[in-house]
Amino acid sequence: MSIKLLTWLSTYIIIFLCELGDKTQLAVLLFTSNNPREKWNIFLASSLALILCVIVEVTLGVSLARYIGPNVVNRIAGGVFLLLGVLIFFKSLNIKEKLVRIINEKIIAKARKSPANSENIPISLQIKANEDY
Amino acid sequence: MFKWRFFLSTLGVVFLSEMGDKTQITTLLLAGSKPTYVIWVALGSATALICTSFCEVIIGSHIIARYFKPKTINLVSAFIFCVLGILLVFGVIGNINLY
Repeated sequence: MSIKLLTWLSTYIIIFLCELGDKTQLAVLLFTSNNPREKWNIFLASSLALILCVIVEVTLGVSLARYIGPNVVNRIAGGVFLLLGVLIFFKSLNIKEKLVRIINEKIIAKARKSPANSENIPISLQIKANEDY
Repeated sequence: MFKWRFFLSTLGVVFLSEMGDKTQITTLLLAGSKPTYVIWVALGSATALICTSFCEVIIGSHIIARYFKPKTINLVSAFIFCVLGILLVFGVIGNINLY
């Protein structure tokens, strides 16, 4: 076995073991379980991101790490994760759909109360309100 | 149809979360210790990362998505992302001092 293949194999094993149970793994796992139909899309995106990371590490990494440092980058990643968590949480509550439904009901109720003012109400809702009579 | 939304969001999140990670530090040190075989270090690291992401995709879509409701997954993933974000912002995890 040549030294090139040995280098490849040792890096492979070390990185594979390092990556198990990592936060990147957790993120990809959650993404695919959220959208199982998009698994090949997500696989493509995550492998592309990881390859880009490897390129950054191998080329710029050594000199860049001296100026920025992993701590700052970790903070930025933490901020993005927090934002993502809050967004997914609000998405799972279906707040937008509920709000739209409540507003529609209010408009219809208003139309029922005073049919004379129905010029201000959109036509589709007018029809719905009239059908209810 | 190719869905750019999922693609770009996964790309951004994985790229950011991989930055400053222990995998990155390891690759950095390996590349620094073997400067002549940098390409082979990069190839080994890239193949290992692709294999792990393949495992994650298969586990996530075939096991987790099959046995849990979408709403439960959404809530749990929101919670986990929030916890990870807070821990990262306050420097509890992912703090590796090289110097």
